[in-house]
Amino acid sequence: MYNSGNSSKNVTGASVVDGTLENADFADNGLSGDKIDGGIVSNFQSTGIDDRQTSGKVLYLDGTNVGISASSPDLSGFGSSSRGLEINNAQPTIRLKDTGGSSDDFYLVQAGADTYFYSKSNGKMRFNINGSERMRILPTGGITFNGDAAAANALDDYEEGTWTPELANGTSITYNSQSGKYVKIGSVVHVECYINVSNSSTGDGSNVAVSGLPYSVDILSGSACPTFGINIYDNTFLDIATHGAAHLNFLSTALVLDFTYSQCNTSGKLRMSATYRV
Amino acid sequence: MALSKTTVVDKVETLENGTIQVRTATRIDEDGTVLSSSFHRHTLSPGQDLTNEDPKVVAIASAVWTPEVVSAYEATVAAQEASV
Repeated sequence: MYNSGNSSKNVTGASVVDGTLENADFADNGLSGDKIDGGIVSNFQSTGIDDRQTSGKVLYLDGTNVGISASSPDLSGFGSSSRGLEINNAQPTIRLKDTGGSSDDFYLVQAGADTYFYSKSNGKMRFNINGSERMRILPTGGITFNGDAAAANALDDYEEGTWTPELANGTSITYNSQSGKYVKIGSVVHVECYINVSNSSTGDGSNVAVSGLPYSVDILSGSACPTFGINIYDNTFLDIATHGAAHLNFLSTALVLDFTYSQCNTSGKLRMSATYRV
Repeated sequence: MALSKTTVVDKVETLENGTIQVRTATRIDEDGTVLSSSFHRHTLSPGQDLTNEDPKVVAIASAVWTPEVVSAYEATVAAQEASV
């Protein structure tokens, strides 16, 4: 079935089939050059390759790129100069497994429209540029920058949304409009709100307080010092002309002004902002 | 291709002094895939009226707001107000 002589292409095409050459013993380099040229070599193992695929192809080489389940690997979507590896399959995944740890696994996955950088280990995820760490994701959550390893410095939250401001302590207040927005960056919250009221009782001696805050205020820290501002051009509720500028103190869940309802108009608008820590 | 809008209390945070922070998410989704979402927040102080609150929030508040927690919070607020 085969010729171990030196004539070229003595083992080709259909002559190389499963079983036929099972016990063939070629001399070293006996199959070098073009002695296998054309046809399909199936179900074989070599020192470095194990191909016992029973059907279909998995690995493709086109001279510049490698395809896994991609017969014509094409990386030009990033740029025409791109060369490398394309995996074209359902939920294509690359797994990086450190043999030194049982759970030190990292997966790069494309699942539908979503891309995952998925680490199963409990370590940091670092992003370096030109040898220097520029960003790090801590296993406990949060992002640090430029090699900073302190969890206290990790940017661990960002959120924005709305809240509904209310005037606490007031009497028989009718709300014509209530709106508020917030942004939380780390442990700092910035809130803005607009209230338009009528029917407020000027006989009420309690302090004006804006409640409904999106986050509780950290008032226990020794250095806590929330700040606030009132848009005087859109304030017709606090009678600042008569009673002077407003000052602010904070309770856990309210902004408390040093104005009483008796120092306010019956109707009017109040637009204010505040920044505090949580 | 069915669009739907849902509103759900998606986060309830309980602080050390018993204050509860509630986040309500409004989601627009298409066939189960969330296309957009927005958040609305409010806070509840220990002892505060829970009318119209989500049952999950009521359950948590009922568990957390023991008479001791409420009285401790009220004492803290009273001290704060005294300093205003």
